[in-house]
Amino acid sequence: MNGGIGAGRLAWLHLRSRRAPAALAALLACGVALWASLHYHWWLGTGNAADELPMILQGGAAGIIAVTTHSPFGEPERATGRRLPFLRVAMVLVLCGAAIGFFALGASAAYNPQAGVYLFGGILPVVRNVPGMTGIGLICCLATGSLTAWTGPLAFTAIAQFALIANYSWPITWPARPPSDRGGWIAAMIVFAVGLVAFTIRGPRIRQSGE
Amino acid sequence: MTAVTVREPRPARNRSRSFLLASRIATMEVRHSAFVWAIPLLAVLFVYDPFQAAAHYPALWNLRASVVPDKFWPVCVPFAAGFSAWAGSREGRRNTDDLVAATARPAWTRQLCSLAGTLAWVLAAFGTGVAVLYVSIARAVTWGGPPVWPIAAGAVSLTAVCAFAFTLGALFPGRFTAPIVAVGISVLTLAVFSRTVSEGGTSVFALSLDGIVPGNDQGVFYPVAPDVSIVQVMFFAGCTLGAIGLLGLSPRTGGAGWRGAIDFASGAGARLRVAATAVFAAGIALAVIGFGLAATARMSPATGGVEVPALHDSASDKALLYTPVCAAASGGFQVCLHPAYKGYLSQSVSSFGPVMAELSGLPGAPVRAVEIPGLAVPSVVQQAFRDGIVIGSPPVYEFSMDGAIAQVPDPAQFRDGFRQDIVHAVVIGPVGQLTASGVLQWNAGTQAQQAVEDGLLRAIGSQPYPACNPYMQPCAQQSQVTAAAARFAALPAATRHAWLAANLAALKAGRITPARIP
Repeated sequence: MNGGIGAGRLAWLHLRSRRAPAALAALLACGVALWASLHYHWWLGTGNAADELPMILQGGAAGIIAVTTHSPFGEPERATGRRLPFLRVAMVLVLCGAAIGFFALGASAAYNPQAGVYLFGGILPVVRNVPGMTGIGLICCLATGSLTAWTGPLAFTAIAQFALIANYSWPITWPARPPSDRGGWIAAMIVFAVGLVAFTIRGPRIRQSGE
Repeated sequence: MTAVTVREPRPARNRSRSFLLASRIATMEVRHSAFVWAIPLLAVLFVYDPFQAAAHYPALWNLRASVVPDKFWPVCVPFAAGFSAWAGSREGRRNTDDLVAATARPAWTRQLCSLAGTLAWVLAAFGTGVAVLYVSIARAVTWGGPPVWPIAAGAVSLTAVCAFAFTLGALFPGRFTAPIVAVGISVLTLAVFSRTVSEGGTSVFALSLDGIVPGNDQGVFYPVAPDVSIVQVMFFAGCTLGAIGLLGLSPRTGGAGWRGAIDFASGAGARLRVAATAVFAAGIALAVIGFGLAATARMSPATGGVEVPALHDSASDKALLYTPVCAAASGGFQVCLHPAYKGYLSQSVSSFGPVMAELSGLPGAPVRAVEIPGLAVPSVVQQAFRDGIVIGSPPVYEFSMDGAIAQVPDPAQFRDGFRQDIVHAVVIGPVGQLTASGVLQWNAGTQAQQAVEDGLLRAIGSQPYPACNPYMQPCAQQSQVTAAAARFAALPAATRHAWLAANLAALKAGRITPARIP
């Protein structure tokens, strides 16, 4: 019993040290923005261009998750025990799940097929894109540190937007691929798996400045 | 006793030393700006989209330069916003507020230097991209000059994005500020862009730099009025000043505070407060004026561009003077183009050559082809998505390059468009007519006319006239027409011409059936 409470407390402290509650609020804001964009017709057309705005929001969610991995304790935290990798992976998975959930809620709240209001491609692209872009953020945080890791998903979003507009169909620009495209799913999941494994084992880069 | 207040002599300020110190801080900020890491990525994105898109557009100054606001500017915005917010949130993020609060210079100076550090890189990246693009355009175009106003509007709007994001970063420092600001501003620009497209770039949506790709003729026959760019510069300059003023006033950012902002004689920091208040007020006023002027933006019927009545100089609506460039196709058929389209002259001549060899000498066949502005093409032709019309006596084919050259030029489409227009005009007649309610009624012609038309086009290697268009003719009748067209196309050119010379009047009068076509 005490072990369970202790593990729960450890997880909670870990989440708090990473500002996970604030991250959840920010992810919720992304979901609300998706709802507003659908409800108030902020998107353009019904083809590829309709996917641009959700893609930016998914990139933003991935950036927020990447930034959340920043540890305020730096190097000393790594000597505290063997549970840190489990906490890292659990937090990323929880936040990815929350992001997908908030997007799904936003899309379902705005869903109105009679008025032509629905998320283009359904929720499948969200389930593929958020983890994939998070993988890029996690890889980025190994190289640049967590606080600037948002640049990775942001840059990838920009590239994917152009791929979407120009109808490029490389698997590596998976957000531009159709929801059921196998190549896109494989690419996204590989990037997510690589990012998650590397981040779980190594943790984010720690700079001397603390950033 | 009389109390005497002695004012202490104000220490002589060494302005040049202050300036040197500020420039030294700014230089340090430039050297330490994180934006430099985004430049390689921006370079890749620049080549990937704006540069390639411009290279594929027809070689016209205004069209190719439109990628600056339409494609390059949106690339720069999220990075400019994200890194500016990152720079703005630095003191709060690192919890150094107390440490820097005791510095001799006001927080405003320090923050403006930090903003300048990021802004310098943003503008340098933007300027370099524009320079590369304009040099490449200058090497390709044959007429006109570089549009300067969109560059000014782009630079000022990026400055506004940086100032706004920096202020948000300073007001709400935290690890999430930079990504949220970057994504938030991206979403805002995209949402405004979608409305701009649906509103045609008029009213307040004229403030959006990212808009509709202009037509080929923009800036070719009539000058592009700078009205919209001026309004954009006003609005974004106002936003910049407003954000900077807010930075100087808000106590959260170490500013002079709002209390006593109007009171010039208030205590410490009075001069700073007055300056920040003046900057803030001027910024808000400028932004409101810019917004108000943009709300009046409308499409000009004379030039086809967007104009702002309060700023518009109607004298600038005069058509630009030019000397057409002409060349003769086979049989002396002369084709004249605007010099901006000089690069397409040989392609045009080779397009007209075969069709005029088939039709020359026939009643109603044009004796020359002349390019006219897209706006001068009759509405019925525009609605039918055709390139031009055969008109006058002697007949002249008047066409526009506005629709003839697609955004990504397609030589077959370009060639066939002209040929279809001329064959249709000679064999069938006008493209159609508009009803009182403005609806286009197509003139599809009889089956025999269609067969001859398609046979002629097939003989010269062009696609048939789009007669299977559901507005024109049911596709079920195609087999009979196709068979007759194939027969006619298989005839020797001289036989075709002789048959047309003898039967064109009867064909146009509807007295010939497909079975009578040889």
